[in-house]
Amino acid sequence: MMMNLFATVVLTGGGGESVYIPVPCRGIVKEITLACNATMVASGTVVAYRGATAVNTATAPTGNTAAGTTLDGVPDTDYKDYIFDPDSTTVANKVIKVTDDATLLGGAGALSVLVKYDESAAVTQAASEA
Amino acid sequence: MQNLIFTLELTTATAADFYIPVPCRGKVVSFRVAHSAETDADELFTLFYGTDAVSVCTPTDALAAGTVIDGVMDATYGETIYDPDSATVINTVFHIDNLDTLDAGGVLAVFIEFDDSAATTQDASEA
Repeated sequence: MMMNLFATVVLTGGGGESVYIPVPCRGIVKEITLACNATMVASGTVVAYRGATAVNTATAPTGNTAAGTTLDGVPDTDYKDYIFDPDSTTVANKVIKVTDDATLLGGAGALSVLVKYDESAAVTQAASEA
Repeated sequence: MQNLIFTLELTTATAADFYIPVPCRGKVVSFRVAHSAETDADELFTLFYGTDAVSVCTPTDALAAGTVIDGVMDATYGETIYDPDSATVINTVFHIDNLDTLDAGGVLAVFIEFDDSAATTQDASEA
């Protein structure tokens, strides 16, 4: 079963602005999809992190991504299966951190993020026993 | 059926368009909002398919902050299918806007009841 987590954040365009999405249960980030009401400039990125580790990165392609057009992220080869867990004692494991870089937007914009969250990693036993 | 809930940050007296990726093939069954500030009858919140209104939330005058406003589905476009795998850009996002008549900025909470029974495992072109 896949869960859909939404977040919309108004960005100044300066980059390095983050939104933290509390995870609802144990799981992994399967996909991220973005849409913005401003142009996403080629090579600009939005990254989903667990702590400081990128699990998925969306990069605007050559030719830019027009306002209202979706942009899909690419799962990180090494860290795409990192487990998030609201019951973890590690703070970074409890939230999905989503951050833009300084080149993504030419000015302010409202960025919407859809995270496809795979809860099949959820367990009913304590995480420490999993 | 999926319940989609998110918030939008609104700015006073500024019309704004928001685009939210659709999670799967489906159609909107209901659209409702609640604003963190008082709203009036000229402060509409509209859910679009491209530039066609699918559902419109119309407050009554001097409606208190936090009051849920139910949208009215458009007779023509209320059954429009959204599809994230469509090659047509407007099929892949919910387009929501507020008008420049908005008296007070704040946070608009949006609830969309989304019927995903239109979802198919085959290509949409074959459905």
